[in-house]
Amino acid sequence: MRFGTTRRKFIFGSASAAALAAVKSPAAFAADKGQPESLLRDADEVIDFRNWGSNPPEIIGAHRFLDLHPDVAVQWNNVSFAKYRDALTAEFVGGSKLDSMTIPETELSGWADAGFLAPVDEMPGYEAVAANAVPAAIEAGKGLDGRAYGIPYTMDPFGYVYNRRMLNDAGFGSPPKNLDEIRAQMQAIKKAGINEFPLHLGLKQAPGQMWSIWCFVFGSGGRMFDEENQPLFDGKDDTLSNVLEWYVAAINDWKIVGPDDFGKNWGDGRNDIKQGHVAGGCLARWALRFANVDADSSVRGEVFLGKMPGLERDDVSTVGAFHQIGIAANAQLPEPAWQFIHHISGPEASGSYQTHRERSIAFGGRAAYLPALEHADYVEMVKETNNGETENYNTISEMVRQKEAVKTYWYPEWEAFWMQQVQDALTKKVSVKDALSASAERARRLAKE
Amino acid sequence: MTSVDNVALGHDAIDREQTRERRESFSAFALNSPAIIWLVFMAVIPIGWSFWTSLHSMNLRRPHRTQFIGLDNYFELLHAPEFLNAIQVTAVFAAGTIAFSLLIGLLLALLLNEEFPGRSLVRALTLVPWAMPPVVVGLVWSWIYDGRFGLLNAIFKSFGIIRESRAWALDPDFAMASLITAQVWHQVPFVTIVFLAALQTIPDEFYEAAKVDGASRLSRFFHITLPWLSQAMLIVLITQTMEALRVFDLVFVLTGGGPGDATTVLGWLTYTRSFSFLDFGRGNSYAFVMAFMTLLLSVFYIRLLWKRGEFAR
Repeated sequence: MRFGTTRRKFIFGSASAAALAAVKSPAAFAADKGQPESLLRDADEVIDFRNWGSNPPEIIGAHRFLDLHPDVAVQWNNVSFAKYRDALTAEFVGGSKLDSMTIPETELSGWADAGFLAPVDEMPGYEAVAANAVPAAIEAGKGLDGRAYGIPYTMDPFGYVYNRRMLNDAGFGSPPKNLDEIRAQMQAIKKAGINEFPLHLGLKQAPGQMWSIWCFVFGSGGRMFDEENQPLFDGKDDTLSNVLEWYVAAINDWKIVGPDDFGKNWGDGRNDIKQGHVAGGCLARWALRFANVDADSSVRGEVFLGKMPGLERDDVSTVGAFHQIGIAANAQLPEPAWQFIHHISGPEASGSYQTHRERSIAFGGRAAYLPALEHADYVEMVKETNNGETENYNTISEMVRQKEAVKTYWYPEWEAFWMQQVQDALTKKVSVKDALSASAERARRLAKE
Repeated sequence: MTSVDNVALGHDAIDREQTRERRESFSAFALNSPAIIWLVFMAVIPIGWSFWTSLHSMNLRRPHRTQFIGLDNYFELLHAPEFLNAIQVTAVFAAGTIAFSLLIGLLLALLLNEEFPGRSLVRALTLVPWAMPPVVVGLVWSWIYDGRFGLLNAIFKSFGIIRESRAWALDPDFAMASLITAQVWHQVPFVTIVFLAALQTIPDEFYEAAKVDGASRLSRFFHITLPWLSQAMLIVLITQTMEALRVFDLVFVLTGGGPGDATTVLGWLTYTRSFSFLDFGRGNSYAFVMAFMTLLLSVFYIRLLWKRGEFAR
């Protein structure tokens, strides 16, 4: 029996299949309403939009926008978050004609200062948007000139996330209220053989990491920079120094932090708590969905959210990430672009915040607007992801703050240097005091450049 | 035919010859023009543009403040502690990787040059690490070095060498050694192949004559084998130096330049300066200094080895 074919038939067959695929593919994509390609259609106005990710609620929400605006289409382009800043900066510098985009919190002020972004605070309906947003999220959308260049897209407050079963097994009934209690609990967990390195600190040198340090500094009521973005941590405010001294002991003496923590970012911590590899750490609160709801979690129902322990108390403050969505300064279609972002991450024409809410729920809770946070569906999601305990979730929303100095153009460079110094201090290559002096000096020098 | 005719004929011949040469020359250029144009657009102009950028203060986070500053970026980096540290770290990394790659590659080549059963299979297996992309090499070694589940910890613990796990690539005492080990593992196959190829060209008569003269095995190695390998050594030194100076992938995956700045090599510093801080002015000056250093070292190697061994014959 011969299964072969002739060369002519093979070439003809392949060419026919390729031609068919080429003709059918756009239609196939267009048919799937969860795909960004489905938002393109013949229209008078095409909004050019950039995003670092997309998920079905967001895309479906965009379809509702198209239904309301029959003459508009959306060219939705996704760029991975790792490349997003470089790609967008290249587009801005190159004069690309994009209309609107999501904006990482670390870039908003720099992009605004560089003239890449258009202010949105005079757009119709902005005041209503601002009135309904969590205040810190609205503040995060402002540039150094005080004008708003974005509206809230996500809000991710950090809390102290812990595995209650491990804590109970070690003899503790409640989460830690300060760093001393963290030490005691983690040492007990280690001693009981429950976990060799139970605490996640996430000390990887990478842009926007080392969140735990900000968590504990804010949790202790401390500050790292003043309103003028001048460093306070080399003399005027000892909180960072005290927190880092505690870290030095946690890593080198008590050994409650794993030796691989220098290579872990907060996302690794989220996975580690989900797999039961650590008992606690500072994580964005939407991490609880991964641990308590995801089918492949090893610790479903065991992980809870606590307030942020400081050097003394746990009811002071915490840090959060606040990404925004905005309009390009050279947008071809500023008005439709505003209507679009107002729909994707604002009240929408109906005032329902539906797309923002649905996206936030899909992620596990990243809402930045009070109507979304208070909506019954969202509250239900919080109950599910937090094992029925919602008090701390709500408290954290009220006490969250953005990182300091993050709006300066020099923040990324300072942060990279500071992270090096922190790691050097934690490995005892230099003292904490010297590391902080060098970091403060670098901040002052960069600010002058 | 008069002498005047002869002269005219001579001029004609010269003219024809010159015309032919011009035509040939034109044809050669015409035929090579696609490659030349490609090179100009893909290499010459970008390199020139890159150098021009290095003469500017240019940070894409503040594009409206771009200005020409001449060689200031180059003068500044000579006083920048992070740059001087990166030079030092790169030198240690380069010295370590070149020395170990050379030594292990040579020993392996000598072994694979001998007759033994299964030699072909061993030769093929030796090449495997070289066939892997550097990022994959980094990922493989990151699991070997992992602080919780790593193979290295498991082996050392089973032999009682260590009691507590270490994250080898993130430990200030072992990060550089970890990086060097991974790079050597990746580069040794190439070194081995180059040496092996050179070893196979050494005529047997040399060894036989040396044996007749009573030369010991060591003496034969130092007076026949090693000089004969000079050309191969030159190739290995130049390529390995380039590999070591421009290393980036392994650092990116394994250490991220840390802990602290313990593994911040020049390639990594250039990357962070250019793509994390978007400081393209300084980033480009770093890249040019790196290229210049590679060039200097290559010239040094060539002067050292060019007239030795095979070239000297």
